[in-house]
Amino acid sequence: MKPAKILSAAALCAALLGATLVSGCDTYHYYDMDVKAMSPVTQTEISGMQFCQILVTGADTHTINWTQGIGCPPQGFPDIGSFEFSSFADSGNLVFTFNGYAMNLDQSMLCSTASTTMPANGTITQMGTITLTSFNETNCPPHVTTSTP
Amino acid sequence: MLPPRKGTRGSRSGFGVGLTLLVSALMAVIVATPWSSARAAEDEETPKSSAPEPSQVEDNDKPHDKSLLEKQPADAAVAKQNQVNDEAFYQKWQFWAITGGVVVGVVGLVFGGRALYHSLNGGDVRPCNTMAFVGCYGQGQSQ
Repeated sequence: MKPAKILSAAALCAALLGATLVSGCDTYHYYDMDVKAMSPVTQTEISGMQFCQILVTGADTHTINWTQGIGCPPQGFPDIGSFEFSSFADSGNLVFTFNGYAMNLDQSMLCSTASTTMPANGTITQMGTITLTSFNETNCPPHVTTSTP
Repeated sequence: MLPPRKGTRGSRSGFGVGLTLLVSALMAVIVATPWSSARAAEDEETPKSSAPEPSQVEDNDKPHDKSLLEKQPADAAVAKQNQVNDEAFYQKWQFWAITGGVVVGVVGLVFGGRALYHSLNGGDVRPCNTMAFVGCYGQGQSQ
């Protein structure tokens, strides 16, 4: 093999390796999200939510369930809870949707919903807020309790 | 009444077998003894090979100067080199040096490759601050 061919082959290998290193590099991006409720939603209303679900859609997808005292029912007001979501997505948008249910995952028991959109970019850590501003008392009447004797 | 026969068929057969064994043993002794004819032939050849060397006068090719017959330093070096070349490959330090280098290189490549692969895939996710968050989710998280 001629030296010129060897050099060209080596250059091609180096280019491939470099392209692999650059294109295959994943970096974690973190989204620190805070779920809040604000007027007219009251603490009494949100305390009736027994099952909460956070859907991540868009540049990444994930489903987060809060139940059995972990995040839901909410322990505080107006801060319901915070969570951190990590993703490799560095372009597009991430939509975080919070759904609070009276009993379980049933649309007829959907008490409150809210969403927020976060841009997926090179920023390592972004902070956002999901704010509940409405409450469906038809689906979640205040008298609904799930306490067991 | 007929007289008894001196030899039966079975006794003649036994005699034949005995004669055959005797001849075979004799042949074996002749072949195995060192003073056999073959050994004698070798003995005759031996004096020929151990004949005295021709005298110095007759050997015209041998130099008269004894300094020329002495081994030169170059000869010793060549002999030493030949001795070195006669060593098996695993007796040479270069073999073990290269082998050790290859082993260390492979081990380093494996561990380095794993670390590089892990790093290219994002490395370790940030530890979850459970004091601040209800939970941590998404890539790299168990939840």
